[in-house]
Amino acid sequence: MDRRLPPREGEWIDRSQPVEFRFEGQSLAGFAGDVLSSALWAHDVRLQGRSFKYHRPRGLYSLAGHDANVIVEDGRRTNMRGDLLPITDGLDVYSVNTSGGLQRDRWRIMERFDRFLPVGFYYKAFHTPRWLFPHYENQMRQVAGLGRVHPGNAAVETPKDYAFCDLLVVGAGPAGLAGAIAAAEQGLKVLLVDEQPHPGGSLNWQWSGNPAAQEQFGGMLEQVRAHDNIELRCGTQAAGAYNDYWIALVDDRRLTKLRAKAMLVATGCFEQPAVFQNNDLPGVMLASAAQRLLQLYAVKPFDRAVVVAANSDGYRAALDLHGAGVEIAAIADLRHDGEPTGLAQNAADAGIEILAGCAIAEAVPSGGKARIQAAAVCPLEKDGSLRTGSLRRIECDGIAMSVGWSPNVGLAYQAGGRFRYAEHVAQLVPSSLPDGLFVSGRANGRFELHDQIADGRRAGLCAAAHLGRFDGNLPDSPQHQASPPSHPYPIFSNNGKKNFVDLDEDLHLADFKNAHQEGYDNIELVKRFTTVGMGPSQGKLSNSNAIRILARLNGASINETGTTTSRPFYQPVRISHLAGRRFHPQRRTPLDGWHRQHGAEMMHAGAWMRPEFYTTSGSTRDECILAEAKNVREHVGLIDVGTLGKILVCGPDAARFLEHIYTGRFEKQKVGRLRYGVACDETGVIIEDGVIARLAEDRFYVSATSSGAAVFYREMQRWALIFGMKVTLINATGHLAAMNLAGPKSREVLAGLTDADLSPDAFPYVGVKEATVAGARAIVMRVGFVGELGYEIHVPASQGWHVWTSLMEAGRPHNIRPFGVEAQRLLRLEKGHLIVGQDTDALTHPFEADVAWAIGKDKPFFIGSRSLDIVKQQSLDRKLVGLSFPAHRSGPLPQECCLIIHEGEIVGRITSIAPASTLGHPIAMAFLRPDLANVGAKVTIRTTDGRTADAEVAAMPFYDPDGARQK
Amino acid sequence: MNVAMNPAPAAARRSPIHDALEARGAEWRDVNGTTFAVRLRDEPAGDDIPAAALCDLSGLNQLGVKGPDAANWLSTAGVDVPADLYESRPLPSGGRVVRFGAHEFFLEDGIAGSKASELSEQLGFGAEQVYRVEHQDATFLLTGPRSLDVMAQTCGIDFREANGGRAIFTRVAGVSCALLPETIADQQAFRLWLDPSYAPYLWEELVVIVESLGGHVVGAGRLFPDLPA
Repeated sequence: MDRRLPPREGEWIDRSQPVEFRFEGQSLAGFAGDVLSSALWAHDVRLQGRSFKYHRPRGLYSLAGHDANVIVEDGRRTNMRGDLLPITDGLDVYSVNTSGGLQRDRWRIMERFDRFLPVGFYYKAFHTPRWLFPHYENQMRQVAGLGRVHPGNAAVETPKDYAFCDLLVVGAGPAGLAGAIAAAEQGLKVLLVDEQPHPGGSLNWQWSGNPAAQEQFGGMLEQVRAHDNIELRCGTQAAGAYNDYWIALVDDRRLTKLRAKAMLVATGCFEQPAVFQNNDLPGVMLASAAQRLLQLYAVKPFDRAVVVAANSDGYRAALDLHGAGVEIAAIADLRHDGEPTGLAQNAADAGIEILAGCAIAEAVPSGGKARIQAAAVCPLEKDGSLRTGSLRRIECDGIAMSVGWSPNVGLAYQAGGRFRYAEHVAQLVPSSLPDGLFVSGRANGRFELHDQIADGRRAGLCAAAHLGRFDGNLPDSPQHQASPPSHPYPIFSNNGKKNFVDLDEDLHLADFKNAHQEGYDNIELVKRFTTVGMGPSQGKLSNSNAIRILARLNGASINETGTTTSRPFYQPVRISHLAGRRFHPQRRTPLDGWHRQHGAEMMHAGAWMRPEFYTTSGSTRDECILAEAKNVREHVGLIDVGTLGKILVCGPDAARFLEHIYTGRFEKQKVGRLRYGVACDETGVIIEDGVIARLAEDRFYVSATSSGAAVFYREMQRWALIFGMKVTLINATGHLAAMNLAGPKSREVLAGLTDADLSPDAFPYVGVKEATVAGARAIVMRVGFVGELGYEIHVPASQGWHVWTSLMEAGRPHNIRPFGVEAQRLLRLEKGHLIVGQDTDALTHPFEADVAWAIGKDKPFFIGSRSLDIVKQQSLDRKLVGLSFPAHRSGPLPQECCLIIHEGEIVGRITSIAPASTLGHPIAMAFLRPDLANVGAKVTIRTTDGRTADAEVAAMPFYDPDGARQK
Repeated sequence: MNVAMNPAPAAARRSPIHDALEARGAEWRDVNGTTFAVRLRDEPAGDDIPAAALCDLSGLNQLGVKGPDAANWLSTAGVDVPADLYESRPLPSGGRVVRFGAHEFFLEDGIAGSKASELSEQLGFGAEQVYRVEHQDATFLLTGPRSLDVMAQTCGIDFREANGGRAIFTRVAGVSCALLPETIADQQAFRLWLDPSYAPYLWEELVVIVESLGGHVVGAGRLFPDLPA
């Protein structure tokens, strides 16, 4: 059956663009602009989903994005709401939370067991025996729940945006439009957002039959679109408010982080349902949903309907439906006095029967409960209870509920607003708002259209005044004069039946009574015990009634009962939106491209990418690393050390400053010489090491570890301020390329490329020169980290590639090879050089690490000196030693961090290990209890698979202990 | 010991994103001793600036000076020294000088002009109370009608309110940058200076965003048609 009506003024569908889609395997058609629910209803598909717990049939209910039981998935995306999901060609969706399809859902049997599933049943039923809980949990997860996540789906990258404005106006309904215009006219930059695809809010569906309202709407919209100070974003939800008006805006494409100077909340209200028997079945819906269906999508909601009303809006809805050809069988008005305005006469003139002081006791279902066939209307006693002896059955296929509203003010709560219950509108209204936050329109308890517009204008001017752009008289806020738009208690008990309060979680009235009987008399406790408001719609259609029920059970007022806390997000936000485009800054040396072109296996080293080793066809990783290391020992190798920290320390106090920073002495260091330095924190723990080269009397060049350089530089800056010394610090880390040419042939390779005299006398070990290398100005240092004759060459980053390739070219006759980080780690291990952060930890002091020799004698002060004076008096708990493993052995080798065990106790751990070395056997560095650390002592290490490996304490360095090769 | 400060031959200098530009079929040209990608293979035809245009100008000569006497030294050398922090002033014959700190200045030559490189030679490794700051910054230029949108996706600062000519220190896509709003061919533009080790990463991120907004990577020749040979 086609329920689509002829074209209507203001409809959102584009009839020139037909759309074909599939729902539960059935091919259907709609129009661009339709959402899934409207397109289905147009085909009279009323069963659109199943409920969470009882798997009851559910259909279109609010059509405002809060229909938490009409949720679909398409195999890639999940938990999409039918009343929000635009249909597109090829859309192919299935309802979530069913077994065997929506129509034949096997789990609908659950409803028969409802007496065994009262609120909180799982708290009581499934905690013993404990061993069965996983089984229960698994079963419950299968029966109840939402869509399935497909972790195999490819990540969707979405932009992450920043935006700024003076005033954010949330809601482009009558109040929001008026507020935005008023503020913009005063010069404010206004961002106006609305979650719907079109602006206008209730003007689109509630006032569509009112020519004066539509003319006013058109005028405001024209002003908004023409105003340079207003940016209008539709299809955008203000998802959450955070400190200082930092607002998360979410649209279909992205999350925008908005920083506003002020915020105007003109978000209107959520229409609230009445609670009666079977108020959840397809065919029962909010009157606003019926109006939306009619006006926005041109779909006839029902053929014959009963409207249950408690305000003027219900009469407007009835008249709208009547005008569209829906037979209104009756208006059941909860108010004994009926409608006080002329709308009552209009309805009577239209031949609509008005039943004042009546409610609906039950929606009578048809077979299968996928539709309704009648409404059981019942007079109300003066106390609001049903006079059940006087039921009247009225045949109908739809019930429209218009009994009240709840303000959509979660955002205002999050921004610091507080609300109180006002009897004259029977809803919450602001009691206090922080500076810069404004609320207007229906959210502020103004329901008449002219009041909404006037209140929006007032709020816009208040925002302008707050931001110093308006100093005129601020208009008063119009007060609501008519009868309350909300009924104080639209809840009608039908003992033991399905009077639903929360459709998300399948909670009915009896659940609240039971919870209260069990002692849950506080709104926050009731929320957690019953889970009311904890479903996908977060209580937008249930919290208001839940508070009313609890207030009545407690005999308290709404204000005494309070409300629950509102938290972001307003609507569920896709994880891809939250993730956004991932920014993971990564550093690359100027030689990165060369390494990749030459087969380097790159590795992460902090923020840097470094070559781990260079692949060689037919060789394993370990073979490649060992070959690179051997080439350094036998010929010459070149490694990119551009990641090292490079800090210039200049000024008349430079040497004295370094004496404070490092443990060693520098004031008497000769120009052209470098020294090893160890830096500690105030507790004496080693935090850095490196070489300190004196380039001039007032100029030092300091290297630092790759991962620690940035922090160390900041520490130096901090101490420079504290010490008040005349020192200038320059961090040149990323601006200089650096490479270490190492091996017995390195002097010969470099000689042809530099103007420096490389003879041992002119440029001895631990010497430093400023020279040119391959035409680039360079700092060249004689270092021996890998234990061979070597030159560390630092040049401007832009010339790094040229210098590197020049060295490789010059080294070709000498069998030069690049070597990577792993070969360097092996070579320095053979040489017994520690790596701060690997061979030390957050507690290691120089005495443990065997670098106490780097502490200057009789220094009056350096950072950590006082702590080290104390530590020095104490016996060592551990000591860094070398370990040697037999060349021919069986069983696994330990890995870094494996524990050393002695007589069942942990006595140490491996800090570095090389499974193969140029020495022909595995070696390691380890912390070990000092009494076990004598050279030649045997130790046992527990390997990762639980077995043990034996090693022998060895003297360090393992290689070239006299240092002859590096001189 | 100070060595002669003659820079290596221009051919020896490479942009930190040289490989990325090479992959786009860069047409290279040496200009005033530095190298620029003047045109890229996939650039749109014509001379118009696209919706967003991203250009690498890392070949420009730069110099940093720092120290108590830095301002005086620059002034003596004929540089109009910015009085306020983050303020920039033009260099004679092109380029600009920016005050990065109380005693720290950054100079960059323009496409035309060589003041920064002349002063670099003059300074050598430093002078009394004036220290050379090694600046090998990557220089990216972003312009076009949608350049603000690119910044909005990468940086949390409202650049609509930014004053032209004043540098802003911020993070762009997570990378610390000095950023100078300016105008090129009547278009809003942003000059980004950053540590060259981050340049390949940031370039890749910016290219993705620029292209998603209908923009293009362009050679220096499009933004500076009078690029000297």
